[in-house]
Amino acid sequence: MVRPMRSLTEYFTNHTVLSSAELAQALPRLIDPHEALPQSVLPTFLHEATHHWCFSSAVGTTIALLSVRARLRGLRAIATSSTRERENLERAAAEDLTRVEVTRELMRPLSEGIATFAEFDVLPTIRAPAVAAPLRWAIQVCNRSLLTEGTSQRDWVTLRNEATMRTAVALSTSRQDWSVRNRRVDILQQPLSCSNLPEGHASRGKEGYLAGYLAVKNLWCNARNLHEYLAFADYYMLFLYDYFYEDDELVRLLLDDSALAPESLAPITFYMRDRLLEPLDEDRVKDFHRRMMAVRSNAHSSNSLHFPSHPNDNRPSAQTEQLWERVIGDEMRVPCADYALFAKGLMYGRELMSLGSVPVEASVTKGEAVLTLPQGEALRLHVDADAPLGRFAATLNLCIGTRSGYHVVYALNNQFYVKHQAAIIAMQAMPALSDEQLRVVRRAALGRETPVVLDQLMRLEQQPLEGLRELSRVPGYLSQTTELLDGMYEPRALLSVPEQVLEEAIVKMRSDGVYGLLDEREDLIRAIAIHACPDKGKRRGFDRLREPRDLSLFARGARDLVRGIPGRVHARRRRTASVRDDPAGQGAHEARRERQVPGAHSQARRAAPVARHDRRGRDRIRRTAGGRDASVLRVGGDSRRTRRLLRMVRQGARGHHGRDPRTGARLRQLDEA
Amino acid sequence: MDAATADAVVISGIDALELRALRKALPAESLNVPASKLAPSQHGDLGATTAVVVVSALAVKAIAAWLVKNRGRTRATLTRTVTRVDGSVEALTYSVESSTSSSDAAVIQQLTAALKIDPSTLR
Repeated sequence: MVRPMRSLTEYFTNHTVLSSAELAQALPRLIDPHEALPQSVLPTFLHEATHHWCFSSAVGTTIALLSVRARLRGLRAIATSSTRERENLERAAAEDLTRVEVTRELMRPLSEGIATFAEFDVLPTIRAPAVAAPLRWAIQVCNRSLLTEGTSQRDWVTLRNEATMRTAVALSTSRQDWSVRNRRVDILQQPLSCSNLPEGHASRGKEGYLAGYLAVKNLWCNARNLHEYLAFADYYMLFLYDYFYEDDELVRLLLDDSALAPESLAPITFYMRDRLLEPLDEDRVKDFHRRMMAVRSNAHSSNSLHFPSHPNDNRPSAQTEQLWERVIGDEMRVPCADYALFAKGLMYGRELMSLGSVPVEASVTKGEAVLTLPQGEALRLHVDADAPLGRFAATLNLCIGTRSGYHVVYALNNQFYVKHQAAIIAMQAMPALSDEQLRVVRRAALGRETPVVLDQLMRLEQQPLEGLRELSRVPGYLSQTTELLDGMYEPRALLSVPEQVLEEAIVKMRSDGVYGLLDEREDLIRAIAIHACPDKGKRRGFDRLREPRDLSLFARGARDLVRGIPGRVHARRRRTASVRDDPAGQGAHEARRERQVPGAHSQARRAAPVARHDRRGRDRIRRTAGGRDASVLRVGGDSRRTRRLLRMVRQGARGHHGRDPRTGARLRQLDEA
Repeated sequence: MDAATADAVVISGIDALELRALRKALPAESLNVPASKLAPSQHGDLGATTAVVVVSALAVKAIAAWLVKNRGRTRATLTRTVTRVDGSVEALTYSVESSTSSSDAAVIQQLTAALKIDPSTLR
């Protein structure tokens, strides 16, 4: 039976599987730290790297830690002899698991939206004050040999800029490939609805790709009018990460012990809904930009290849340690600590992103490990001090150190025992790491193997765990949450649709997405897939690439690459320029801005709770929940309610929506400065 | 006929619109689209859609029509699974090259040669 492969990232272990056939072929070659990732893999790599980045954020780590705590409490519940303690632990385990599942479900379309945005729309630029981690990794894996050549501060800046622009060109070229166009078509014909589709529907549905993607694009309209730098897609992506995934308030709500489900779910649900639907806060945007500018000035003063990035990107271990102590600390002082120790290994293992692995035959002597690849090539690595001598089967793993972006190759003895350091035969990192950094990487490499042990432990206790009654409530809460998603994401996704055609658009897009909206016109959807998805940010990227001032920054190789950009882009650039210079168009924008309604945001905020008391939605949720009180989940997803919500949101957002002509003018001024 | 035991052509890397076209052109029993659902704890891309077409004259005509229509793509990979008398299954992979300059007849000729079928059955 043929099984189609999908690249994926698991939120709990943060393990990534890149299923690209090109990558599988290139894997043995990539062991050489100077070889670059194949260009065609870049869009998929960015999609999964974005998931990986988001799951290792403060919110992502908290969700994973709550999953660990739920398992620990479940194991303790079946081990205790006291009935009261068992009930308390069972309830606590169910509470943790419910919060994890509900939050994960609420964020699923957003997570897919950001990843899809990274896959299709984002290009690295040299002007954004800081670089989103997935783009930084892409730059590093595409320009490995180039990035080792610098010797002075001036060199590093030039090399960094050149590597960035080379990656931008490689990414733009790879997006012209038919396989990427096919994926764009697939996204556009995904259902807008995030709920369960009727049985037998052709689309995969429920995963919220289109709703999340359109929501992210619409939020961009809001964001880039609040700050000119957010017009850069890569900087906007970093902002989204900071806004949704490095959110201390959401972490606080997830860890708040003052209430149990369903009451404890209400603040999380409403907080997420408000975050999505309310216009962005200008002060929050300014604060983000101020922090990122501080990061940039630090990066410029360091004499190394240091990409300016989010402050939390460079201290994952410290952040994990802090959250670990806050969430799991108490559990370590009671039985089941063995499980907790393994789980801690798992948390460290989340810091490495795998590109793939290759089976090898290892021959280890003192001082050297010879690893023979299936193709017969031999690779020689400096052997680890504790590695056992002899010949045995091993696995060669290629990873990227999350956050710092270093390249790690390590061989793992297939017959290993997790607590033994001897499991790792040899390890090589590029750039060269200090002993302390290598210790962290070694810990992470071993940590990546612990999920297998954890799974085995959980399987041993599966039967008694299934007997915990409180855990059986979790699927009910989960299905109620799925029902809410349309009410949260559709208004944001369709914010730019004119009100008079909104109802029709919702009906058409619910099951067939943009394909349904275009009355199933294949030619139109293909045209959109080819021409509309490369957004203004991308065109700007090309425009900037063509500027002689920028070209002078780069070496000859980069200039040649730039000259090779297809002629189609020139035509697009001319079209863009003609639209930009159109005084009538600018006048229309100015007129639109004059119609802003002061104080409309607070009106929308006051009006929003009305939707929570919609009787029909509440009744439906009650039916789904089997008659139990589900007062927490009161926002439904039918089209009438969506329209009402949308109207309220639009009142709030009016004035922030639509393109601000001053943004373009300001960017041009910045360029000239 | 079950796609796992009959001669079948696997078309990989098609998009949703191409799949719709194949669904329209072929009877439901001769087209199988393997599910690629992720577990609830997994996030990922949509991946490439793969269609398994049970070989018949109608199916080959539909594939030929699809290839002719999608000449913009330079290469289509078809995997033909053949069930031998002893029960063993062999997978044979063919690449059919097409471009905007190649004629309909050239594309169809490549297809019939790859699948080892009589071109007259397509008339």
